[in-house]
Amino acid sequence: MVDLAALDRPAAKGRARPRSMRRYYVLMTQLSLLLTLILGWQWGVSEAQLPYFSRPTLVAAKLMELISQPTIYRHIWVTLQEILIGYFLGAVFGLVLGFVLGRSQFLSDALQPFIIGLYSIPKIALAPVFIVWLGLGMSSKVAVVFLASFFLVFFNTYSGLRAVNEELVRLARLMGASWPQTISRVILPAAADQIFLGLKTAVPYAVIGAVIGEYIGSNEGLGFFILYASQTYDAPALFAGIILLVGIVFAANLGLSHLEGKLIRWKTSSSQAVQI
Amino acid sequence: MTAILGVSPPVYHEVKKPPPAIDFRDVKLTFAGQTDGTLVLGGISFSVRPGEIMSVVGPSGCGKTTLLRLASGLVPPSSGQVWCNGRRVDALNTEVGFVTQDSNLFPWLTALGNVEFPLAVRGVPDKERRERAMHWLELVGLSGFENHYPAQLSGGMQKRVSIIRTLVYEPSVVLLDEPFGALDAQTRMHLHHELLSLWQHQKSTMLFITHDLVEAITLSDTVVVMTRGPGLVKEIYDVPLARPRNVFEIYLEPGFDKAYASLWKHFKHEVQEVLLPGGAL
Ligand SMILES: Nc1ncnc2c1ncn2[C@@H]1O[C@H](COP(=O)(O)OP(=O)(O)OP(=O)(O)O)[C@@H](O)[C@H]1O
Ligand SMILES: [Mg+2]
Repeated sequence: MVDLAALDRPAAKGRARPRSMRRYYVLMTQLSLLLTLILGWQWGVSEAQLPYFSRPTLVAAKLMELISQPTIYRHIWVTLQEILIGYFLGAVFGLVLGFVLGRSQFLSDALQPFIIGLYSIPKIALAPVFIVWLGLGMSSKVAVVFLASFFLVFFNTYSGLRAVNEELVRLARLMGASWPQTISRVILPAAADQIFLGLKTAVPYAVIGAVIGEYIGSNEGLGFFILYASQTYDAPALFAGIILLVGIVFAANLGLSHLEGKLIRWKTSSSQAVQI
Repeated sequence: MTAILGVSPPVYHEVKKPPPAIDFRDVKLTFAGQTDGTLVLGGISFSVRPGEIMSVVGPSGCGKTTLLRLASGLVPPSSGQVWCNGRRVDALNTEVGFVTQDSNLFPWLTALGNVEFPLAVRGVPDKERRERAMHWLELVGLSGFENHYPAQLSGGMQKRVSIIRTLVYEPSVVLLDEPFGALDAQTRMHLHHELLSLWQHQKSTMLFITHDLVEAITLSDTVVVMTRGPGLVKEIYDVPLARPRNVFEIYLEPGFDKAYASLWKHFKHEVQEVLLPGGAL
């Protein structure tokens, strides 16, 4: 038995070192690209262009100045709230509806034309409508964020459920799993990759939704801050605001990836095994 | 009423015989969508005694997998009946365990998680579940691989996990659909040996699909030979080999040659029909 086990041990071990080396090179390349961009920005901007393009050093100084004062935190907090509430609601509704339609052929057939119709509307373009309906406050932005994230989560959940291997579902049932057990132990794990893809793709769209909503009509939030900076030709503040936005998207994605890594441990291993 | 339907009421002799583990009673099957009404199974009748290993051999496409799907209640027969342990199969039959042609492991669970799955859904406590699963993994030479995900296991290892995932919860009837089909000869022999020694101390009923005559003789008490288009039982053959059998030198067991010759006589015709017309291979 011992020799048999040794015979068909997958030859994955030998790859460990080159893989981590490769990751190191990738990281180094990314860092040097970033550095090149920043340096190019720093030295490529002439004095005449300065009011429009600013410079990394000026932007950094502006950022420092901003975070030492309370105003910017209020803007950040407003935008964050819009994103969090809208995204959370969108994700919950998207997951539930995606799940129901993904399992029910009838509902899926019946609702298909409506969903495709809604899908073809660019959600962000509805922002002015929500401003009219819900006013200049936070709720109109929450609505835009909700709509943008809902559709991405919904579609990915839906297609993830459609792609579940029914043979596994039947086998689980044969092995004695009840329907609730089959859902939590087979169907959801089988669709988890796609569901997380939806949750992650929705993050930048949620942020875009909030910011566009604020551009269109508001008196607070990061979008308002950026718009105000552009109207007053304050280029360093403009870029500082954008950097803060990028930071939010980055942190959200990092958090979701972390969650995904905790929930889907098999994925990394299978994607390792697939490589030839 | 029963007489009209052609089903005679059970007759009890002095010694009450246990009902067959699986009983196919004139089962016919046409798949929905096949408008021309071609029969996949054209009236199958045979039964599997409790505790025996029965093999079904037959050419590809004759309906062997379909038989197992009928026995597990995944497909209803178009006419006729399937019975399992004295009860008619008319819904999902959880008394059988099904080892499918492909390994069909849950890719998100480790080898251990896969083997524990049927125990977990049955509410077996954590500790006992782990012990039983580890025991079976050890039996098939997979200790040390319990934390590997299916994608990190070789085909043969996946197959072993898939077999013990079914054996671990000790279903009264185990259906195995060409479980060793894609394996190399050496691994196969090892698994034959393991399967027989597992069966020896568990004594569950096994209905085993294969298209390999030697495998059928090695493992079973009874071999059913099927014909194709539509699937019919051509011959039911009792294997005269004594147990325990040495699977590594099955050719040397007394009676092997005779068993092979008589099975081949029936099987030859079926194989030739497939090979000769198109000459494809
Ligand atoms: N869901 C289905 N719908 C229509 N026809 C089917 C379906 N499943 C199987 N068949 C047909 O039924 C016949 C028997 O199929 P089955 O899978 O039982 O064959 P098999 O004996 O297991 O073959 P193999 O040895 O290649 O696995 C085949 O002709 C196949 O085309
Ligand atoms: Mg088959």
